[in-house]
Amino acid sequence: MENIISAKGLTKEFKVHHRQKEGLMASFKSLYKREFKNITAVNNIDFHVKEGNIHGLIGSNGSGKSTTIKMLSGILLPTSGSINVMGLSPWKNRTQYVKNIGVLLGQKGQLNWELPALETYHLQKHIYKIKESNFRNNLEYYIDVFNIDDIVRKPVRNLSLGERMKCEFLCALLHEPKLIFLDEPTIGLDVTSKDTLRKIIKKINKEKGITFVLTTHDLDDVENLCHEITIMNRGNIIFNDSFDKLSQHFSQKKTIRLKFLEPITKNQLNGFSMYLPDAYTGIIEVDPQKTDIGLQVKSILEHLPVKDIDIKPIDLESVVREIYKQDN
Amino acid sequence: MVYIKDLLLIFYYEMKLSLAKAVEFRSDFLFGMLSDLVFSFFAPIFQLLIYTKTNGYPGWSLDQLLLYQAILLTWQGTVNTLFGGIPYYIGIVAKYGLFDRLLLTPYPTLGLLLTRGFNQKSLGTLLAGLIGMIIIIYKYNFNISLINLILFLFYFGIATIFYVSMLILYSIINLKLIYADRLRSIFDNIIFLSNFPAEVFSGGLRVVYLFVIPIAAWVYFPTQALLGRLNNYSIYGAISTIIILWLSVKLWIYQTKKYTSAGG
Amino acid sequence: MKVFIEIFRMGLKSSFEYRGSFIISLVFDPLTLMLLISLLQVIYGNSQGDIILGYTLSQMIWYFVATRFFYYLIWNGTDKEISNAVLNGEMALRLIRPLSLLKWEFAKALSSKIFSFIFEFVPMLCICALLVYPDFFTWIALLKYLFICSLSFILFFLVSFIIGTVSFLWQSNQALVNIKTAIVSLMGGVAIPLEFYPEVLKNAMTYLPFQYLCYVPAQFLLNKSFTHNWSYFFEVVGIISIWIVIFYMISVGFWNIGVKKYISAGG
Repeated sequence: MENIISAKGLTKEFKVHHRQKEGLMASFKSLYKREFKNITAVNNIDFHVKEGNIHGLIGSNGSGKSTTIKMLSGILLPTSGSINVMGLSPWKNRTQYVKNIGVLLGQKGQLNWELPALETYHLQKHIYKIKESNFRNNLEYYIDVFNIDDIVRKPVRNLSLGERMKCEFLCALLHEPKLIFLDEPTIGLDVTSKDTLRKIIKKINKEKGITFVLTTHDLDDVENLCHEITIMNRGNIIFNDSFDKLSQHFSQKKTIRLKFLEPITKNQLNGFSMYLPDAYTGIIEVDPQKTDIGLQVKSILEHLPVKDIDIKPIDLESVVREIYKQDN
Repeated sequence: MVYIKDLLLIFYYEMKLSLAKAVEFRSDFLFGMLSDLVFSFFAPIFQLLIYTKTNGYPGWSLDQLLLYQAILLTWQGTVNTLFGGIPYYIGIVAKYGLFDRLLLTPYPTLGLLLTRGFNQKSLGTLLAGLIGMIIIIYKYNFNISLINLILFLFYFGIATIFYVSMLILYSIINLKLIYADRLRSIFDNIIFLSNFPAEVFSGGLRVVYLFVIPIAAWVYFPTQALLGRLNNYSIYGAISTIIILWLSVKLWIYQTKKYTSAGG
Repeated sequence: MKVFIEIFRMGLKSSFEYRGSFIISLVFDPLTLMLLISLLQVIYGNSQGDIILGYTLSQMIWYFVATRFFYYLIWNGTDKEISNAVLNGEMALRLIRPLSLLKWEFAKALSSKIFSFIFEFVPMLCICALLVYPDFFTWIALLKYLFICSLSFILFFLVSFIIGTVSFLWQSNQALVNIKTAIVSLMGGVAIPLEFYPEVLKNAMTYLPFQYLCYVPAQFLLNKSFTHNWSYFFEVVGIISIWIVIFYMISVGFWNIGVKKYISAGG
């Protein structure tokens, strides 16, 4: 597969207004004197996306994932580095470039609030100069895929968040972009809506061959959607490979989850290295190649007041936590 | 330039959308049109109150001043119908950070911004202004030659250009400040000054009014053109209008560049 | 009371963040004022006497300065604030706060006006005094003016709040907001001194509350001879207080109806 996106040495530095103290006096001071701080939001990263993939970009707030998306979609100019998307440089010929991409910015919709989404779609047709027949076909296809036949006819302000998201998503697809950026597509949605949206993304990816790049901090998205994953932390890429590799890397590991009869403090652990989400719960990650799980469990049962025990393959959350821990 | 045809087409569809909205919310539309009409009549009424309660302005008879006010209404009706929605729209863009969205469309950001301003609520004002002009011209027997009419239309175009330039500057400041409650009233205050003919300003201020910030371009020059009283000043005023348009477009481009390179 | 102070501090702090807006008004307001001064000078130069409709030139100029002060000290956008919150659904969150909306909005409005007082009113007073010397000025007149302004602020706030609560009942209160602006400009004397109107209209307006928002306070600032009398001062204070009580009762009524409808409609 060919790379649809290849970015090299991408760096973005910001100057942000920085106020050290809280309080009224500090506010007053900021009237005439402002302190600025330089922040490197994205630090010299190389980033590649293969055509036809669903590529997840994950990381906590401030990890630089949104800034990366903004640079890739031509909204922001990188401080240094180069980007090549489908042979184009996003910011050099912006108006040409954006015809080829679709962008869904979680909180920044493009639908007209007072009117049914269908009206905005028609406007979209003229903005992107979509041929009438293509427009009809696409609209029909996507309305069917999203199952929103009656929803697109209601004023947008009367829709639920999930319905609105679907309508926004459709709006980004109408001009047949080959590449779509989704910034936090599932944020704030309920479990069923999330699930539907993921199924839709998968279907479109398969049937239309559209490449998706999505940012998320929902690991279910990663597990259920992404072919490839890039994990970012403080502006750096700390993991970049296929999802299979990520799970393989840690799949031998097991989590032992313990429920205690009485609250446990760190001092009572007797040398067990354990993560304590609360006083009644303990989580241990074990690599069976290094430690004998049987012995480990036996020793735990001897020393700690265990009420319940549960051994499972490691979950994604722990994997990512592990990766972060290594980086820090 | 290649975009102008497309942008005009988009403006046309935005206009259709806007009218669709007006049909959907009929009572809001009618109410809005009425209040727009009432507001636009403020200025002429105050003007006449001032004129009649004092000894008036030098160089203007009552019928000429009435014509001036009718042209004021027509001008306000025109620019507010075409672009009246922009200050509100740019306020939303600034507040919710929607500038990104503008950057994601395959057009120059400024061009697309200018297609978003259609405001059908000002159609009533436009109509009232036009009817007022015709009635006043007939009632007071103004003789209007073809040349003067053409000059009037030319300066009406200049007036629109200057208004657009001011809108661009307004948008730039609004995007920069984000929260610009006061900005609107300052903008309205500047427009309010077009209610008065050049003769009421003296010395340096008249120079400002005619050339520096050519407020005269809005109503004064078109009226003088219709009355056949234009002098060389109007040419300089028109030139300065074009320069200001050029500057404001440059400033917009500069600001957009700064936005994309500063980011966040 | 503690919560009240906290909102107040928060509002004040957010005002500081928007410093650009008020720097611009400090630059532009004197500029438009200068054009206005020029206009008034021509009008006064073109007439026979020194006094037009009871105003000397400096008083007339300062009347228009006072209309700017109206925006600094009295005007607030509570109505729009509430309707926006209703439209975008934030209102549901506000309603579950342990503080009534009226108090919340009042604290917010008050904090922004105190900010304006310090950073807009005081500087503009000085700048305008340098531009046109207020030969009528006395400190006692200023104090009377400020006292009446603080009452007018409450009155305006209540009107604004009532219009805000209307958005619970209707989808949008934009038309009402426009009508309010029109009424305040016309009958409150924000656009022009009320003396410019025909006598009948001017008399009719004395029975309405709106002239107490801008026109009447301005008379005290201009130190017009009829304001020297303390009994007139107390009369004005009394009338505004009565209007405040009336509008307060209306606002409570509107609030009760509106919030019931809002909750039963499910937001």
